Amino acid sequence: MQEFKIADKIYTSRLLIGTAGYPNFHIMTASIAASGAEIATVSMRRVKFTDTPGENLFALLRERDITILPNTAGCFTAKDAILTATLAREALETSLIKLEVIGDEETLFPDVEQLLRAAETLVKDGFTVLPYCNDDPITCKKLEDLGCAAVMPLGAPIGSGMGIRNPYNIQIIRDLVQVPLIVDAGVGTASDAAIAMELGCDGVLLNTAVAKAHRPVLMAEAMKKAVEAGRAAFLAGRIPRKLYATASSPQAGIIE
Amino acid sequence: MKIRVNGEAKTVHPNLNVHALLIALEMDPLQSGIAVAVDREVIPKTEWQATALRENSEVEIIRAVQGG
Repeated sequence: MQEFKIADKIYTSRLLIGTAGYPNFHIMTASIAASGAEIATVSMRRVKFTDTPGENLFALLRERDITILPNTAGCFTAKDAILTATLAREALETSLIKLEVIGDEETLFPDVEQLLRAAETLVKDGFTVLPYCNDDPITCKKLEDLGCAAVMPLGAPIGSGMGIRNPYNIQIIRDLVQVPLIVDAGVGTASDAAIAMELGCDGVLLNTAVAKAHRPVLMAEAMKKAVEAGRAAFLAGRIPRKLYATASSPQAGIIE
Repeated sequence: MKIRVNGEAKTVHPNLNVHALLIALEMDPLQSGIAVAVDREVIPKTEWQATALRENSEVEIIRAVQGG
């Protein structure tokens, strides 16, 4: 079956996981392991000089052979996102970038105009750009045309846990783009991840649903299974929906 | 001379280079996972020794943290 490939690397797992918001570092690493994810996101932030030397996230992920996907979270302009991406490439020795250009603090919806501008510059500069974007088919198509390595529409606002709010748009995006389609943001529980995969997405990126679950490691395991089940169901092909019943047991030989 | 490092004002020797600044800040310049920008321009590791800071230089030193 079709492989899940980003920047010429084939991944077995179609679940991408965030590293933020876990109760502690130990639960984070256990959750990543339980999720089976081979790609994990990180943010780029200023070094604090008051810090006591803490865990080195970069070293920890590298030791575990996890592909590090830096993001540009917190950037509101193309200019800031480009600088952050360039710093990330230098610091983490990767050209992968999860490109986020936020338009509004309350909704964290992307600023499409700035996003497209940043994507164009970064693609030309040799980055493998994975943009977090609206669930808008035209934006996704434009991002693909600019040379992005994937498109990552939101299922619902970041951290909202509202699931896939517009499955029909995701379905249209699936038909429209050839690059990997990854639902990024909005997943609240396992069934949301399964729905995304059943719609034909190539992967799911989530963070809060696991990190803030009552039992993060168990939820990570649930997400792993949901992504696998959703993918299998998509490949198997669901039956059409019908309003009325069709008996599954034979009609012949009914006892009278 | 006065410079700003990660938004904080610092007084350093004139013409201090990026490599020497990191040492002055008690950071290991050879550690992996950090990057430096001076006045919004990323300075590759290989150029840290050769890049002298100037009066009012704005230095950003960043690393990976937990993110989504």
